[in-house]
Amino acid sequence: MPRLIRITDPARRDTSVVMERARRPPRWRLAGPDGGDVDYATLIKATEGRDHAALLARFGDDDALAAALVAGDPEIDLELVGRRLRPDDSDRVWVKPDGSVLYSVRTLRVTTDPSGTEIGREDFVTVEATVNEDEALPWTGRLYPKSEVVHRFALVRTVMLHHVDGLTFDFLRDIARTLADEDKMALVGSGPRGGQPLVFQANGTPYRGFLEGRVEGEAFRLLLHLSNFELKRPT
Amino acid sequence: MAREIVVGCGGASSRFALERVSRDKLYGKRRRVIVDERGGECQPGTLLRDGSALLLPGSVAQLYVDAAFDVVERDQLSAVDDDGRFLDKVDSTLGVEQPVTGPVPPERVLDTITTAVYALEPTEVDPELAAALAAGDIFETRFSYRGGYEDAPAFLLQNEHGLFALIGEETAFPWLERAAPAADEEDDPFADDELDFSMF
Repeated sequence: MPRLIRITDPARRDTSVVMERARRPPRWRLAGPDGGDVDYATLIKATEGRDHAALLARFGDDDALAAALVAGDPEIDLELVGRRLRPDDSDRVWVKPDGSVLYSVRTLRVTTDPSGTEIGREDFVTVEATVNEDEALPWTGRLYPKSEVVHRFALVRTVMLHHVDGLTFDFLRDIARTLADEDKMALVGSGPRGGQPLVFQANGTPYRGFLEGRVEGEAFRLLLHLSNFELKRPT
Repeated sequence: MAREIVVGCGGASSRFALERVSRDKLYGKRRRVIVDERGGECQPGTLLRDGSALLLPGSVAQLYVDAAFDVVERDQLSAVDDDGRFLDKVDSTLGVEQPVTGPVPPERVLDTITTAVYALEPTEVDPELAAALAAGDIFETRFSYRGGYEDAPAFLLQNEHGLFALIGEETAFPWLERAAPAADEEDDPFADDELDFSMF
């Protein structure tokens, strides 16, 4: 499904358009020594009850365990080790400290500071997406020179806003032309005044957005550059 | 000797020690933790659908196999292009002087997405380059941390917090025209957006 975004232009009109990611076809693929195809495979290499602690409990002491390792392969489940694991062969579960499967989940949000020290632990609350096709992102009117944006923020993702019909073509091209004429980028955020972050899916990464427009004849590009950190040195 | 970004222009060489900058290092991190009824932290596992095993982290190995399912070791891997031609390996650029071009316009940075940021500490710098960076100019060079099959554009710039190298990946968005094909119905640019609870 295409991802829609509802944006507002400087005239305070809003509409839904499509976001598209960059498509740079891979220039090469990994191959074997002879150029033949290779596949990335996940194989089982160890199974529960075969680790050192379990084997020690099973054989009683180090000497007995050592003798068992010499006599056979108790650490290897020959039925399972080496078996290929495919996504549709298995389910993800949570495992309790005692090794049993967890059935009643409690989710916490743990916050650590930049040094990695835990500074908070509380019940997790879902952060809803702030970008969707129903709620229009306001035109903030806050324009920044491109050089300032590039010098202040790491722009870690970019999506292109794509028209869905002739009307939205004109809508997007006009925004692109306005920004190109000003040679500036527009801050994009969520909330009534655009001061809140852009979150594209529930619990997803929060971003600041910067809209950049380029025009060439009748053609245009309107790009939403996304940043989630500033260009600063860690303290 | 510490690994450095080394760039050269007009016979003058500049060297910069580098330190990776990340969002977590700047702001800290929020993560989701699953606990059991006693508050014990749980770990993700994989349960085989036939019930034959419960796999804990570290229980699987990921490797490359060929069509005959024989393992291909990483140092045996090669890279081929669409025409089946083998590609030469690219060495790490660290410690090796790379040509630098510029100043480049900010649009050149905007033609890429930033995949890594390094804070730079100059150990030897061409005064002309230092002055241009301090004046807000942006310079472009090539970068590969470990080597591989391709290097990437790197942009050197300076702000009030210091010098930085932004490692980029070209985006190459097309121009949109009125008659352009409609947006791809299957494309969801945020389908792979990782769950992230870091502070904003």
